[in-house]
Amino acid sequence: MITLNKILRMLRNNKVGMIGLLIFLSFVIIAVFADRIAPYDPMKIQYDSDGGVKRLQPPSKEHYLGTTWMGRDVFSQMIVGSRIAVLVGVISAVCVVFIGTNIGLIAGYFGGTLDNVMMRLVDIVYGIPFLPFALILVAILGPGIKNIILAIVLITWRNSSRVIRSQVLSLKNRTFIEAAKLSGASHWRIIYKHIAPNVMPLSLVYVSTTMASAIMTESSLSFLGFGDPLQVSWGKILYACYSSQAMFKAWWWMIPPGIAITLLVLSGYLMGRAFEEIANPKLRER
Amino acid sequence: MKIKKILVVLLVCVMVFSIVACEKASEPTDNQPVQEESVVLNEADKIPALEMWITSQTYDPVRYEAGIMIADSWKELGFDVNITTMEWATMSAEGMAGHKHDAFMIQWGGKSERIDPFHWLYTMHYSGEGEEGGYNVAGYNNPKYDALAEEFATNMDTSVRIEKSAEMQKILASDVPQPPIAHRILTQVYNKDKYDNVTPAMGEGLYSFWNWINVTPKTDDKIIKFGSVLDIKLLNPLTTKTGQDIYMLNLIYDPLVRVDIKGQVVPWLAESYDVIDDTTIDVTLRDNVKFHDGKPLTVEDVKFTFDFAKEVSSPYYLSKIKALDSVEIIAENELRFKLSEPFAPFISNGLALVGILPKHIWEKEYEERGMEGILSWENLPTIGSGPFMFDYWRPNEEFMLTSNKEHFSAPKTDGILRIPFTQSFGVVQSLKSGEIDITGNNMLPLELEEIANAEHLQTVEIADQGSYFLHYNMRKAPFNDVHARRALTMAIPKQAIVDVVFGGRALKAYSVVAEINETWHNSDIEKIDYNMNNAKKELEDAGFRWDENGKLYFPENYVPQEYLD
Amino acid sequence: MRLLKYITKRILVMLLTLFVLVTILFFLFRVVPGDPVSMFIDSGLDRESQELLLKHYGLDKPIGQQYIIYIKNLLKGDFGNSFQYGKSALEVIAERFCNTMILMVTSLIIAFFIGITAGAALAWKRNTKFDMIGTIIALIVRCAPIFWTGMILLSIFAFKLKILPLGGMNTPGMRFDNLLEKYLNFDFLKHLILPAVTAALYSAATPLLVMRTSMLEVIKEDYIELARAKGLKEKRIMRKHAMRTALLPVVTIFAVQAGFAIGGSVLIETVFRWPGMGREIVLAVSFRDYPLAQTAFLLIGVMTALFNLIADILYAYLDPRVALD
Repeated sequence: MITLNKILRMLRNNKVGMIGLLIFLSFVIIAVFADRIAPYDPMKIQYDSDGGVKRLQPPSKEHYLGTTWMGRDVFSQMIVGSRIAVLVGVISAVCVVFIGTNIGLIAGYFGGTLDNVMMRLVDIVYGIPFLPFALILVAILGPGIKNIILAIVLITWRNSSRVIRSQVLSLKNRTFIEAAKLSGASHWRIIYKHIAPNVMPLSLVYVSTTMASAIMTESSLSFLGFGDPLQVSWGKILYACYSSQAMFKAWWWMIPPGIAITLLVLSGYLMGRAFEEIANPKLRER
Repeated sequence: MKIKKILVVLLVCVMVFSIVACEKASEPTDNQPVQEESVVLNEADKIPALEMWITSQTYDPVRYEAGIMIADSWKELGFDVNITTMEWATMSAEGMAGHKHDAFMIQWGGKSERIDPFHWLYTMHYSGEGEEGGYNVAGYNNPKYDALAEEFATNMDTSVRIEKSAEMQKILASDVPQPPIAHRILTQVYNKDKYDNVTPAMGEGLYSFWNWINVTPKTDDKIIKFGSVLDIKLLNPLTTKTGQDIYMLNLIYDPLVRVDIKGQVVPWLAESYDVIDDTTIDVTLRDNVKFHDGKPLTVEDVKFTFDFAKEVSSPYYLSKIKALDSVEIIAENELRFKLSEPFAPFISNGLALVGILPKHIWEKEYEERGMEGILSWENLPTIGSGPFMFDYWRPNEEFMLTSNKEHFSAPKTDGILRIPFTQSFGVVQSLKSGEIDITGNNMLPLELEEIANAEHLQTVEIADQGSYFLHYNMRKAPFNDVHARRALTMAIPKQAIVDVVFGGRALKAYSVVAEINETWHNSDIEKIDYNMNNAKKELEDAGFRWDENGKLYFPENYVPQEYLD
Repeated sequence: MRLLKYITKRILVMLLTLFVLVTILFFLFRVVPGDPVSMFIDSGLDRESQELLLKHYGLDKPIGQQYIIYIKNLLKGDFGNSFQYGKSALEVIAERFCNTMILMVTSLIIAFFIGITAGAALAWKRNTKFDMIGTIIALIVRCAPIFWTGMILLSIFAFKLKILPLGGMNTPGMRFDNLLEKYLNFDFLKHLILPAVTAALYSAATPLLVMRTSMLEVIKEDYIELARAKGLKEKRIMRKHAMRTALLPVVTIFAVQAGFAIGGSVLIETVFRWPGMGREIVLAVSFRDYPLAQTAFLLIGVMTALFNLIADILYAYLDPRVALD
């Protein structure tokens, strides 16, 4: 049986996974201490000594990453923007995998009509084009973090539930489950005590990859103008840069948010890969 | 077990962070130093938090940025303000139509039919327009003002109306039910090496009808190429609703009268018109006018147009001729318009906007298509009698109008080629390279920088007669109190909004009728501008109180005062 | 027989999916505040005119009745008229749909070409620096937001070097007499390059990684060693023997990737102002043009479902065990 301790031990020996974890942790730390790190209020318009707005200033000692067209400090926006990314990533990942794993466990374990209904539901959700749906949902319910997370969760649970279900199917007939059944354990006890720990590494794969795709989705929606208008996020910085037509003139405004998104998404995929190797030892040989 | 520890720390971090983030959202703004001695204030007297609705940055960066600036300034005054972002469709339905708002901004366009300030003064402020769906968004309901407004709406004597309008502007400037904030300075560009006599008009800039009639080619290239990021959608005058469609239809169809560049009504298809009494207008039709297909335009066509609009319930035309009761042919080239009630702007805002349709075409189409069908008919090729004739239209590619050389006011050019762009950057580049000659886009500061050293390009500027308004809701406290409204208005940093948000390309607004509208504007009014001390004093004098955190409370034994007098 | 039964089942599920999609969309649009008329409120239409327009659009009826009418019309192949353009929503979308498909198909071809060749090359040189750097680059491109990559490419090739256009699909003012002429010209090609390459870079990473893995499996097989023993040239072995076998799993992900690409086209189309379906959806939603948004979304749904179906059938065909559950 695979336990959490074992997974962690294996992760420690996985170079790729550790790199991913380190990148992710550093963003979490930045996000937690964003207020302390950011030198300015990210939404505050900066004025020079003559009272003019500091528009599109290149990086300098005062503004490490220059300023935007509206005279806002790009560096502070970058720092504070990490909050939305980490928040959306972590919350969506946890919700998605919680729902997906449970559906997979229940459908796989009980089988029959319940399984059938759930899997048809998964099929239907698979047929919904993700980004256009998320976009319409957020446009209709109103732009904002909550609705973005809702849109992500409503669709993305399908991926993990299908895979976890087939894992459960193969575990169901193993001897240790049979033994538990014979000893009179209840269904729920078998599901959560005996089966769940074994699908854990697989769930962790989905936690990581969902986090990555959630961050990507949030920045995409923000870029399309459907992000939370009152919060700074990396996608929104890029959107502002693109729509102000300053993107050709202000590289300091365009480059950093993209790098940050790439790194954070990458960390999710790297961790996911590591968990995948743990879940499926055959992969390790490659 | 190092990793496990790290993970635990991480988990704690995320949790702490989530809590902090949540807390931050509900945390009030920084506290202000107290100026009052500590009095115990009744929590029930606290002014409820104001909701400021703004659009997303995508939809309108002006309303977004200005909304945030105003909200910050109100917080400084001691109000609690929640900013909510909404899509325009939602805001429009909830605020503009539903009147459920506290405060939000909108830009009211300065179309030519608003030169007669009926829209600004009557539609937006008369109490009868305040019910759900009406344009009196603030719910202004001042009997003294209403009396003036009724006179203004029904008296056919322009000088009396101007007098009333001046008085009305004065009341609004002090009562501030929904203060105007700024007029944009429309900045458009054309190729001065190739064209002359480019005439921007009040409200519409280079989109104006008169520009297209007057613009004169300097070279042999007589087809003026017009670029814009906005495109036309439907050329059916009965159901049109977007400005771009209306501008184009205005060139193809002729109305009986037009509003000229100064805002005066001039006869057009009509040779002359006579106001017989408050509800009767006689119109003599111009001779020898022909539709683009060669058929003559007669009184029959005129009568048909108005009757037809009523019969099929044309949404666009009906909104212009609500007051019309009947049209009769009284002679070979004379018609009589009977109104159901006196309506002063009927000529400038009604007759001037109804293009005369060819009876022989529409009657036939109506028979075939029926009522629903005729309203969604594409109407191609579009046949009218105007100075420009429809040539061809390839949606998203080109729209071509050729000049009607037989028209009584024939254009100097040979035609207009209208090219839609997907981005304003493309318009700027095409202007520079000479691919297009003129644009209707309002140029942004960054774009003006881009064309600054292109020798052949000329910039034209004209102040917009439309404005950005901040709509309060007088159906709710504290907006039902004139002193609160005045104080809130004094806290609007107009100059900063002009400088920062518009990049200087706007004028501060004080009257609902713009300064550029010389005939109707009244400058002898109270000009409420940004002054935080005055704002505080206004509240203090009215009895409003602050607690030790600088938060505002209603006066003791409070009875709101709705109007100054 | 079993396969046939499986396929029928999948098609039924697909139809059910589309029906659910249509229903969700229909009600989503109608329960929220804001209607197509309120968008134009500022253009000065008074209350009566607004009501007339709503009636004209059929929005004055109770929502249940509207739904029944909509579904009835849909079954007849009538998608309704666009509120903005007046004409049939399908007609408006058809052109946008072609534009989107051309962009997506081009980018997918490029993506799979890059993915397969590069994936094979990396596997062939496994555990070298070349392999490592290649894999890292593929991963990074996969993780970079597609719109950002697009912005960077735009800055370089369109703004700095000025060799490619800034966006759009044709130089404004071009005249075309028929559809073929519109797509088969140099100007169009120039406009196509940047968006297609951006989309391709993004979608190339997955086939690349799959191809690499699959090649690694194949290389270990005996017959490759045998071919080597025969003294065949390395390149020839790679092309003729290894790549052909390793291609199978890549082919199966093609359909999935195509589905993703269509969904993601909205970003590419926004950055490059490509007049495609994705951009039209964004516009239609903000204008509350329900029929247009529904039609566009339905078309994307059909495409996604179709590709899913193809993927499923391919899987079932290649791995008969799948059809059992």
